[in-house]
Amino acid sequence: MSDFEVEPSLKDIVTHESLKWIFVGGKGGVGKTTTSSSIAIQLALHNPTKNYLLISTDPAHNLSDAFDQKFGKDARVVDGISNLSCMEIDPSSSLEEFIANNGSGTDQNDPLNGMMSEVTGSIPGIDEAFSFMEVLKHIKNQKNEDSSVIKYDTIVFDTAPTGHTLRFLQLPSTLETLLGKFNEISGRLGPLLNMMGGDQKTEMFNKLAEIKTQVTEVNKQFQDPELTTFICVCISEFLSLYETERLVQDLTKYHMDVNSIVVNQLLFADDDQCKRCQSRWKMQRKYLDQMDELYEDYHLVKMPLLGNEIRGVHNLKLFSRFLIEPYDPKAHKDVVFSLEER
Amino acid sequence: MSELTAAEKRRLLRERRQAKLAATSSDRLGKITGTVGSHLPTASPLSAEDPPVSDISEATTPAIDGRSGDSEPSMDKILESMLSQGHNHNVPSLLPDDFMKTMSSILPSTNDESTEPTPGPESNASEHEMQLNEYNRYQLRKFRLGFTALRFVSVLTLVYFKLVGYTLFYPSFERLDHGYGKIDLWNWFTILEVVFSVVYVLVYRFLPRTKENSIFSIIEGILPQRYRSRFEMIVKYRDVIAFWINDLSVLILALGCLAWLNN
Repeated sequence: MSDFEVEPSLKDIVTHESLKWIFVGGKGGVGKTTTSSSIAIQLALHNPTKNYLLISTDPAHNLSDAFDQKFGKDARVVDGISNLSCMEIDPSSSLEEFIANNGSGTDQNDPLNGMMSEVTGSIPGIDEAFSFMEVLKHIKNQKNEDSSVIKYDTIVFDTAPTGHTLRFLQLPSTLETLLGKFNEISGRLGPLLNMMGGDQKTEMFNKLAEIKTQVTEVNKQFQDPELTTFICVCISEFLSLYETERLVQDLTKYHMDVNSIVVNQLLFADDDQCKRCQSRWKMQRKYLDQMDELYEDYHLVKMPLLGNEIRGVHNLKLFSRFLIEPYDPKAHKDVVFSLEER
Repeated sequence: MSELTAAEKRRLLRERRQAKLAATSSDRLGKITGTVGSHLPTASPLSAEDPPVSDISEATTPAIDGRSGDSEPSMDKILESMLSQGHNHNVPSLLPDDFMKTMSSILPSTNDESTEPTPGPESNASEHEMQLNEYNRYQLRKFRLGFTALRFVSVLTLVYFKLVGYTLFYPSFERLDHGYGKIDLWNWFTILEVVFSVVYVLVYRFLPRTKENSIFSIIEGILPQRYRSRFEMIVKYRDVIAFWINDLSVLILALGCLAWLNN
């Protein structure tokens, strides 16, 4: 019943000028890193005047492996693509840094210090919170007038598996509640806090209030479909499809826009002699049919399983073109085996 | 139909997706599992009815109200449990910090005074809890009164049978050397107290529970770790110790009265 065809590619994302945030997520092992890297590469190639940043918020980082280049907690330009930078956030070290920064100069035996660490450490999704803090730092830098800081037009997130991602996205509201409660406690225990090193505690609460303001601002941006989009990655199997649907529904509840779904590792084995490949392709087709039915209003991008690991910029470029130009098993057959071995 | 711009297409698609999801969100998952009509053969055992579940509430940490198995607890719930920790020991502690334990025993009283009660199921629940606690406290008092009366009567009976009518009771123990100390009043008193203590400890587990006194929570929070378990034991058996002291007081009073009468 559609009035117009929904293209089975990410061309719309690549040409979408106003997009500032692109999240790439899905079940573990479906190719999120490869997909997010490919999207970032296509964005960078199609818009050479713009700067892009790819951030991995997954504690088990894979970006360095995908690009075959070492990345760290600071953004580093990808070799061969000057307008694309990557960084891997380490939430646990950010957490330690946060506690160290806010506990410096105070007595190690201070019971309130211990309490703060306990409270902070036991907050669900705290890892994601510190990934988020890193993101906030970048936003702050973007607003900075300092010309030495690279300003990124779009930030692509390679997120952790679904559960983590949802917690990450839930974080702005969680943080708002948490900070509200902290303020409430600080109000009630004002005199007691003063006795136990009130100045530092007040400073900390002030910092938290400042973070809250930034968080609220980012939360608004995440819910604006002209600024933010979420790309679901899956494979054509039951569990992956089921989790993708749940993810789509959960994201909709968070008022986040999902308009594209990338299906990875497809065999396209119609003319293949390999019996195992044919059998798996038959299974994949079954779920693809289901996806076509469920996601007729989404950009459903079908990506092939290639003959080798997709590592390094060259291989990623080869693979990523199918995000824009739908893979044709007959026309693009040679690409499957044309990857550089690593 | 005129050509749509990219932005218009995006908006139209977005609206269509949202409308579909709002209308058929549960059906969509059902389609995947095969429970809701789909022409596609993707039925899965996941769509079958759930097998009977056994109660594992005692084997695992009990969930806080409103906290489902796989969802994260909201910050409100966490803080609520933090603040109610001192009052409700049935709720598991999310924060092991002893300082928080102490604070939590103080905070709710401030809370009660400063904040308006919010209507709704939660306030009903807390009202019901208060009533239940009041009732339990009444039951406990009633039991203690009866038990104390029984003990006092027993002690006085013991005094009556062992001392009244005998001329060997004197207000001092100076005559013990002459054989007066052989009276078995003290042995019987000790036996009686041991029996009462055992009975009380046995009955204690069937008694309704009331909230602990916040003063104990504060002392417990202040005490060093190594003395804490001893303090907890003392708190637990404080009733027994109090009974012994009370009974001994009654006995001494009775002895004093007898001595006065005999003079």
